Amino acid sequence: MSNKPKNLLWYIALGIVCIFVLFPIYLILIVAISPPSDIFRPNPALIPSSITLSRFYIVLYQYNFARHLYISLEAAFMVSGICMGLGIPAAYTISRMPKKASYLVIIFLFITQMIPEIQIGVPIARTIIGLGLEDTALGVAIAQSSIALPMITYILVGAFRSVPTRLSESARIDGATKLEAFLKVDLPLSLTGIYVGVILAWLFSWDEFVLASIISPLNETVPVLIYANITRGIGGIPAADAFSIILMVPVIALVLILQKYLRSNIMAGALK
Amino acid sequence: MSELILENVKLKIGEKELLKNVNLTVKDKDFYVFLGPSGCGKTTTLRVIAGLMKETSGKITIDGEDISNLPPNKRQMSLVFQDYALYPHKTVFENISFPLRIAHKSIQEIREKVKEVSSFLSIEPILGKKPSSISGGERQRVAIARALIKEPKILLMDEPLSNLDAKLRDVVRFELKRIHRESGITTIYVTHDQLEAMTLGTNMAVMNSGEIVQTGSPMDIFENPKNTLVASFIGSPPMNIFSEIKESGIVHIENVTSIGIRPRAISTSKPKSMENTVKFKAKVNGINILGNEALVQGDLMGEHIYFYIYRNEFSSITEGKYADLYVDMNMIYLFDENKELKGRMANTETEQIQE
Repeated sequence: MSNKPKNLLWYIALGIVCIFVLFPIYLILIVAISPPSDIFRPNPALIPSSITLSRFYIVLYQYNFARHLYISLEAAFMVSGICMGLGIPAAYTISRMPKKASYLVIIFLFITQMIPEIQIGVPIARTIIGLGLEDTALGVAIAQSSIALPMITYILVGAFRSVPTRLSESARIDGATKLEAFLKVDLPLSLTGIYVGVILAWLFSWDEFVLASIISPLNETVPVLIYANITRGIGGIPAADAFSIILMVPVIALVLILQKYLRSNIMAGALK
Repeated sequence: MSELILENVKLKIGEKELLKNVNLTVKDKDFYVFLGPSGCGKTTTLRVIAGLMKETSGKITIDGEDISNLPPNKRQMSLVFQDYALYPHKTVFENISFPLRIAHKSIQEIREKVKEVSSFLSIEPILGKKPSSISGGERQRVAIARALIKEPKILLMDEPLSNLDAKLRDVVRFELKRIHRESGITTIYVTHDQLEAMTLGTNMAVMNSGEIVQTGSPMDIFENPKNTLVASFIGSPPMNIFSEIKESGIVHIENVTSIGIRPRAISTSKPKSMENTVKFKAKVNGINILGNEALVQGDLMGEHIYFYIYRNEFSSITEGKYADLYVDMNMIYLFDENKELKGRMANTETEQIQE
């Protein structure tokens, strides 16, 4: 873990990567806060001549933003919940199957991923509407889970496979039932992978546009609202950028909260 | 009392017969060793006893109670795995107390038992540490402590010393003997190391390709190996086996195709009386001096022969030259064409012996 940077080249490389990742975010930020004269011209200014927070005001007060944010958060946490609730038992079973059988199941899992989202979106939407769940966060979450679940399950299979079967065998001999061995040994040791799964499921829903726009056109999630805003809303592109900035805040918060659990050396000391 | 009996235990996975027909009786307070080359089924037998694998047919009983259909958590056994299988997310204390916590014992009782077992194994100072920050020898002790704490009917050990370095292995071997003596717990121990089997076992079963070849006390098996396989597996260096004695024409005995001589039974000094003594001439290939003695490799009847010489004999033997070897006839094992032991040379009609 102690990968100490040794020379200047290392810092330069790191700097390039940081610029590459952070520059677009910087652009979004300055577009959101610059006066129109800075943006809508050839060679827009990289440093705003003055700062305006009016777009944030538009976003927060013109759109009933809290309601849309709530729908997005609701859907994202539900997707995380559904993916964990179904993905953990499925992945654990797959990880303890004979290798050959598990490959077959995993290929089967990815069938929904093989069809473009917009195409599979229609039958999924039809089913959701048939259940009377259109324009609800639950409907969005169920639809999004059908796409996210295979990917999350696959990640969890990897997490459970990294826990040696020897440990749950040991727990069984120590007197634990199958369920106790899973809850007290396999599950805590797979937490890193599970947190990754939670974040990815959450992010998938948070960013997801196609299914959300089909299933919940009136109660838009935030990405759908941004899109609507760019095409027909008040404030135009700068306001959309202000949306994006606000959209980032919960993501950063979630990653910061869970990052201390994203350790890679949890298995140290188990065997030998 | 805890007596374990395996009756006609067979295990087949697909077409592979992992256990052919295992019958054995482990008596109360035994230290029973399964010895055999890797892949012989000794670990599989252990896993079947523990309930981690289900036998295809056969019966396992403890004190007359059939446990064949019990899951591992109901069998009241402990298992020390080869690689310890400590729970890495738990401290040493939590690892050791895990079997008691699962059994919902009171905190008071857990504390007392952990204290008792950790002082027995001198691991009190590391109780608060995680398995990743203790040494291999300490992990071994923790694994044993976790196995002992629930006072199992039978303690199972799967090659527990094979991950330790040679020096530590000697220490732990004596330690295991002490643990068995003081706890009096019925133990089944799997190893491929004949030294561990000889020194630890009160009884042992030599296994090969899914079958038990021979059972008995270590000395009994050492003295009367059932066939050449057992003979060459027990003792270090192994027994010298000559399988082409007919072709060599040196010894001819009715119905005997192979003879075996233990390295320690060979002497280079002429005994006072040649009665009951066989003399061989072997070409010396190499001498490994070990201090007060030396291990010699020679050629006899087209095969290598190993024997020891003492310090006072070092000068009498030269590499590349022939040496006279004297063996008491009673120390020469005779094997028939099925490689089964027929007896010792002294008790058999010997038709012709050539030098």
